[in-house]
Amino acid sequence: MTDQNPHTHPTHATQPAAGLDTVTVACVHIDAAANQLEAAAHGDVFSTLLSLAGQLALIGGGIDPTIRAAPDPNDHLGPVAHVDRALVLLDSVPGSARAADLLVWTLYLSDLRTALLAAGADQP
Amino acid sequence: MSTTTVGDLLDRAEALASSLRATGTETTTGQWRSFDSTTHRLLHELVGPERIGIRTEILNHATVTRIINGYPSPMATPGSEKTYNALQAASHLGVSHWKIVADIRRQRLPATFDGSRYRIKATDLSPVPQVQPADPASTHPLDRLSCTLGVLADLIAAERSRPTTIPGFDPLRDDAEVTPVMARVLAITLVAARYTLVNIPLQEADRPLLIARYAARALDALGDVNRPSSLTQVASFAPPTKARGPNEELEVTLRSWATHARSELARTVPSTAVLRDVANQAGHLYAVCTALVMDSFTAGNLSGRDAELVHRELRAAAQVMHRLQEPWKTVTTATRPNHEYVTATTALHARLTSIQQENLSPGNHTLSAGRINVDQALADLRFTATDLSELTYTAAQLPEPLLRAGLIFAPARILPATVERMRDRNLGRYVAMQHEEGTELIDTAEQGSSAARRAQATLEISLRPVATTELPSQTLAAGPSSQDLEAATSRSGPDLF
Repeated sequence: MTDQNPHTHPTHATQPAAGLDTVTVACVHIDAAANQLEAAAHGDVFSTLLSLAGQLALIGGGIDPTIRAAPDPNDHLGPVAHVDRALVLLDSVPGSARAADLLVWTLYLSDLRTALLAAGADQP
Repeated sequence: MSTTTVGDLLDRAEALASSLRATGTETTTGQWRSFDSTTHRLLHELVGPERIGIRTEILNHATVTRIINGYPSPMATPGSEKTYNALQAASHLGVSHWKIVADIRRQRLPATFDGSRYRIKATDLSPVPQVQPADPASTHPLDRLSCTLGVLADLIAAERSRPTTIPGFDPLRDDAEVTPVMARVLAITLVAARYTLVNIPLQEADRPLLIARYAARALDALGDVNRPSSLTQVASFAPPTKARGPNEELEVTLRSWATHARSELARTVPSTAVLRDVANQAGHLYAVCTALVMDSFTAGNLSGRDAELVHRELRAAAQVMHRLQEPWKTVTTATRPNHEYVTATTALHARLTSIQQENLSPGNHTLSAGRINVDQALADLRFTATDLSELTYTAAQLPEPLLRAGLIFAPARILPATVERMRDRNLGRYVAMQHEEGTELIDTAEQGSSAARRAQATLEISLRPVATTELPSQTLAAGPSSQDLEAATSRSGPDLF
């Protein structure tokens, strides 16, 4: 298992990153989105944003349980934009190279994107 | 709601027993035998196995053991999985204890010896008349009573065989909780036997008379047990296969989530993503419970003080659950969650969010077909709060063995630097955590378990009728702040007080 944290900048993740595969970068985007939602809850433990963050973390853990995003002060993307990039990346993985159930995780993520929009989480 | 508790079944059985007095329907020997056999099975399940180890428990259990041992030889052999000790087998066959022991020693009766007593399979006892279970389609009151008691026996057997227990809630191992239920069963038995005495052919009346005498004797032996028993709260769930309406949808998603969460935690190496998600769902669930309690208060079904208390306690529990997720964020067991769990938790998230946003949004207080029944939803959520007590307790037992087994991994860079880890740090690798490095995991998991138990107890308050509610003076003295009373549905929601 490799800890990808120090080397990953989610904002630039749509570029084919040196040394990082596409799924890893997608996971970084998912984790970054979860972190942003959690921050947006402003410590309100009853906020629906927190539960959405938890759902994103679960999906990230389903794709690869070892990937975490490093905090990036220059990150200008919002949670939905991060999820969108993750979806693009996951969809771009060639069938022969993807895990058998990656398609299912992508579907879960796609469903959650709708919930994010409904919760008004589309702002950075 | 498709939830049935031990208390529900006892109430139904008592209502059926009461109705026997008003009917003079003839009773057949077969019907009586079904009742007799079912009652014995139920009492047998309630008493359970003999206690071992703690002397006081063994002595306390002796009273109830004497009652089941004194049951007049049953007319039917209970299920094949049942075992008896020599004394129970003697009682079952109506012979002396020494006769059974002699038969075992002469190899005429198969038995195993566990070091202190014999265990005899019920099916190895002498053949007795075959008894058919009561017909569930029958309208005969005694058949209906037998069926109800049979379901109760099944529920008790299922509860006793649960692989995990809810901390602080194990009524079947506590004779003080079992005896009030036994007393109610014995009272029902006495009434049914008296009814049967009058309505059964005379030549068959010996057995009901024997059972009536036994039930009266056993009731006296139990003494004064008129106290509430938490055993009555043990529940069985049968969610609808096709949910109709928001309440049934909530019930189905709650049950499905609890079942799959239990399966996930029972995996050899559970996923940390699931452990984190259980805490996340707990927080979400407490938020929805609070919103429903506030709605109940607005409708005048709950006193302001109780609503305040529930709000404060559940918010505190949600805060603990939020903190509980933190240490799980940085570590992993490298196990991925199962798809069934993800599907169940996604559905639950969607359902809970929908209740928050659609049903309880400010200004949406008009009754409509699509609006959730708050009382029913709270009842379902209370059962899930009990599930959460069990789940968080189970989760709290996991970090230590996983750490000891070297199955919890963390990035080497966040762990204390050692010579062995230098290369791993440089390469950005995950390494197995040492036991002493997981103290925070263990502590927060235990705090989560305690918080879930407190939340479960707090939610019971929402059951109390508004006119009878009084808070302890200590709670009142603490007094909620206005900040505590902020709306539960959203950050900028209405102040319901």
